[in-house]
Amino acid sequence: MPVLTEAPPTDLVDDLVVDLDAPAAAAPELTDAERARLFEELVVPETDVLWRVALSITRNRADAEDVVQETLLRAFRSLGTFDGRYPRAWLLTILRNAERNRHRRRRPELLSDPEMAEDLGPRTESDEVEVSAEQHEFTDFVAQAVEQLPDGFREVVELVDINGLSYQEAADVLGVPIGTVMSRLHRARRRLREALVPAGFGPAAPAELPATADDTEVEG
Amino acid sequence: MSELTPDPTADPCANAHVDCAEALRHVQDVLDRNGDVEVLVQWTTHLRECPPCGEELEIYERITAVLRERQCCCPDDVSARLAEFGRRICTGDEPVS
Repeated sequence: MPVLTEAPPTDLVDDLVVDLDAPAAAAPELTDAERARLFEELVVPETDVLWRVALSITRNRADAEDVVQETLLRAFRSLGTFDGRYPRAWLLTILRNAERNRHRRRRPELLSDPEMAEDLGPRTESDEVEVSAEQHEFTDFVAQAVEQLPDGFREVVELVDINGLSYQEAADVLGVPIGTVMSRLHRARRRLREALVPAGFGPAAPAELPATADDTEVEG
Repeated sequence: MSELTPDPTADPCANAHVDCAEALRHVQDVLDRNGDVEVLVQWTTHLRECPPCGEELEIYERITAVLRERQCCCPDDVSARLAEFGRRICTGDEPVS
């Protein structure tokens, strides 16, 4: 009997208390129609962004879809306590909780996904017009260098530089302070930049800045 | 040698308001337009006027440009399934609790 996997997810509480300023008991119950309207208005437009973010974190299409579905369910339940401000930040926090919960009951057969190679591989010719061979090589090289970053660095690059999230939004997803996002992002880009040198894509980088404590955390 | 002694060979941008080390430390802040506008303008001015430092900014700009292009779209079939899932939540066809 799957008692452990069905235990009540305690992190649901996080979703429900996201808006700390809201009056605790005075929130009126939403009607089904109101809830559906708010869902359409605040949640549905963010679905694609949520999927891209989930893919960056899970690295797996099936898992990303699961996480987004769970996020949509949790968002629907929490609409009554959400004040309507910054829906993306609210949803990203919910997504983080959903992902954390999924992680605890992750099934091993979902850990690898052959489709990911296709997702992350170089773009096809039809995506580009008249791009030089050097640019192709550069693009492929950067893509590979991102893959080789430690997860903590790769995630911020995928969230901010690839998916266009703000520092704050990335901090919401990762559950870390905004300063940590900036520090990881800068150090991740620095690694990408340094990786270019032996491949002949740029001159040697100027001297490295002193290492920060965050590096140790990311490298594990 | 005293640190105050000007050495014209040490810094190719002797006329700039900030030195190379300072500008290079903030290359990524310029890249992200992150920080106080006045200070950003000083760093940006240096990076634009000093060829070696400017090259460093260009490399970072090239990297982030490539990364931006790698944003993938949510595939149509996934998008459709998630939209359908959302509809089922709203109509009560998907159990929410």
